[in-house]
Parts: sequence; C-alpha cells; structure tokens
Amino acid sequence: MLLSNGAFTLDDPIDNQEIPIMKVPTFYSIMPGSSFTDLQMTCTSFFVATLFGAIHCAGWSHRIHFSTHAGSLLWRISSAVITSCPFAWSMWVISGYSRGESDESSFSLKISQIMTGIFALLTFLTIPLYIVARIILLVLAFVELGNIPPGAFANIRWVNVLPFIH
Amino acid sequence: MARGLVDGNGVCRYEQSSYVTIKLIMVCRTAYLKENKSSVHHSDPVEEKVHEAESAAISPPKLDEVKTGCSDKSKSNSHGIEPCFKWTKTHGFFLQMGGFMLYENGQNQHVLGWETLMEYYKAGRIDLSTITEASINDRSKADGFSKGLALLQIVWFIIQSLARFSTKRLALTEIELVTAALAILSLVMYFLWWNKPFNAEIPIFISLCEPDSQSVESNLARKGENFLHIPFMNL
Repeated sequence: MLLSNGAFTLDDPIDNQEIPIMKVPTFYSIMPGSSFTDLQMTCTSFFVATLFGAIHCAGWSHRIHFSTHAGSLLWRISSAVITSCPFAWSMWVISGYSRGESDESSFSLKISQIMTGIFALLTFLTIPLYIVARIILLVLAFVELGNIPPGAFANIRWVNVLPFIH
Repeated sequence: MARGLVDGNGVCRYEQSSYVTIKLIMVCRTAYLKENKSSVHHSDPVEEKVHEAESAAISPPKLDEVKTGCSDKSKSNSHGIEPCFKWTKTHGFFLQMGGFMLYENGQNQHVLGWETLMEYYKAGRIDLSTITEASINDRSKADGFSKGLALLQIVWFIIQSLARFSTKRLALTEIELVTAALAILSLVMYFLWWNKPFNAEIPIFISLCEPDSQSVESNLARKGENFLHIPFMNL
C-alpha cells in the first residue's frame, strides 16, 4: 500500500487470513478504500510531520540559547532536515498517485514516472538522515539542560497580563 | 514551584493559583455530576438502551439475547435493523481496533474485519441494532471530561511556551521546545482520535444468525438506499 507504484490492492490483512486472527496487529489500520483516500491519509500525516519539524526550527532564533556554537549549528541542521524530509516523502506519494491516474503512453505518465523515480531515491536516502536528525535533536535537548540560561528559571507574570489588577 | 521561589511574590502567587485550580476542579465536578444526573432523568432512547443492557448483564441468559440479537423479539422488529441504527466514527475506530469478534458454536471464532462484517451484514446474518455508539463508549476508560482535562493541560503548556519564547526577560530551553512540538502533535491526535474508545479491553461478541430467507430479502431490498452511511470511507 505504501509503495506508490500505481497498483493498488484492497487486500486486508484481517479479512484475507488463512488462520483466524484473535487480535489485530499493533499498527493495524483498515485499508483505504481508494488510492485517493490513501493519498489524503499519507499527505495528512506528512503534513503533521512537517509541522512538527517546523516547530523545532524555532531553534534558529536567537531567543533559544545554546551553550556552544556547534550545538546551535547541529540544531539548525537537524531541524531543517526533519522539516524538509516529509516534503520529499509526500512528493514521492503524490507523483506515484499521478502515475497511477494518468493514461497509458501520455506525456504526464512519462513525467510522473521520472518524478516517482527521483523522489523514491530521495526518500530512501532521507529516511536514515531523518532518524539521525531526530536522535540528535533529542540528545541535544538533554545536553543543553546542563547549561540553562537564568531566564529559564524566572516565572511568567501572568497577573500583569490581566487587566485592572496590575 | 522552583520558579515561584525565584520571584519575590512567587509563593503568594503559587497559593493563589492552587486555590484557583481547586475552585476550577470543584466547578468542573459539579457540572459533571449535574450532567450525569440530568441524563438519567431525561431518559433518551440511547440512554435507556444502555440501562437495559446493564440490567441484562445481571442475568446472563438475557444478556445472550441482547448481544446476539437472534432472539424472537429482535427478529420481529423489522429483521434486526432498527431505523435508529447509525454507523458512527466510534464504530469505525472500534472495528479497526479489532473490537468486533465473531462468536459461533459457543466459542470465539476470529476478529471481524471490515469486509467480512459488511458481507455478513448485507446477507442479513449479523444484527448490529444493539451495538449503539453508547454501548461502545461504555468500554472506553476515558470520556470527554478526562480527555478535556488532559487537553487543557496540553494547551496550557503550549501557551506558556509561547509566552516564554516571546518575552525578553524569560528563556525557553531546548527541551521545552521539543516538548511543545510533541504537545502540538498530541493536540492533532486528540482531534483525530476524539471518538476512539480508550483502552477497551473486551471485544463485542457478534453471533451469526441462521441464514433466514426473509431477512436476506429485506436486507437486499435495503441495499440500494445506502443504509450504512459511513462518512469517512469511500466504498
């Protein structure tokens, strides 16, 4: 199903079992009814992944304090990686979908075939990159705990925000 | 609390905020209890069905009737399909969780998949009229109130992070940034999974009714009018 090679199967792992199943697999989800539904689902999850990465990009701001320049650089690179990777993945899914939809021997088929090839390669290259970037971000977040700026200990004065009290 | 001690009047404010929290919890509880009470008094049909099912649970033979739907009572009732039966998102989530299990010849057969369920339903061999949204939600260990409380805390954390990020005097640490990103992810999940039963452990057993020619006919007649309306699936 995830392999966007145009061909689409409706085979459900629960329904088409020889041995009766007593428990669904942990990450089981019902097969989408059409390739368009599949596209919608995949693109939604990749969009959320992009959103997740985009929040990490707040580390580019000078407001986030890093103890070393190397740490800051690592954070910036990693956050850029985890924001851009889902883009490449969703492009792969979209081009695979358009390849499945376009007519035989048409121009759009050729274009989408090339695009699918490029983005498939890009996807397989970026997946390990993404994993490494996520680990770096997590580790860095804990490492930076050893060097907290004094502002992090101060409290937010919410009372100042309320009208007529201050 | 450590943060409160750094400020001059931090301790005082901590007391204030805890007072507000307690007040809030009390107000919420009162509202919640009221809601519960009123729903019992109102006795809408769905609620009544649940009470019926609950009282049936006390006497096992009766429960069998209710769950299987193969009793004479439901058969006479327009072949098992009540006009009020509606397939909801909760049903869909429960199905995906493997919540419906086929029960035949006195033992569990297998988890009902989407296609198998539809096949049997169209053949009129499954009665879903007693499986209301409320009866599925009854297996869920979280309701709107507990989910709402968790949601409130998540939103509060995000607001605080935003305030820390934009105030000059304060600083946002990297770990807070990571947590805020995860909190926003969980906001999305709360939105998408609002109707999903939480931590349901026992499946709903569905028994196959004997193939009854009359009910098959009536179900085939209903086939055209799309009686199972599923909003989120293209069939």
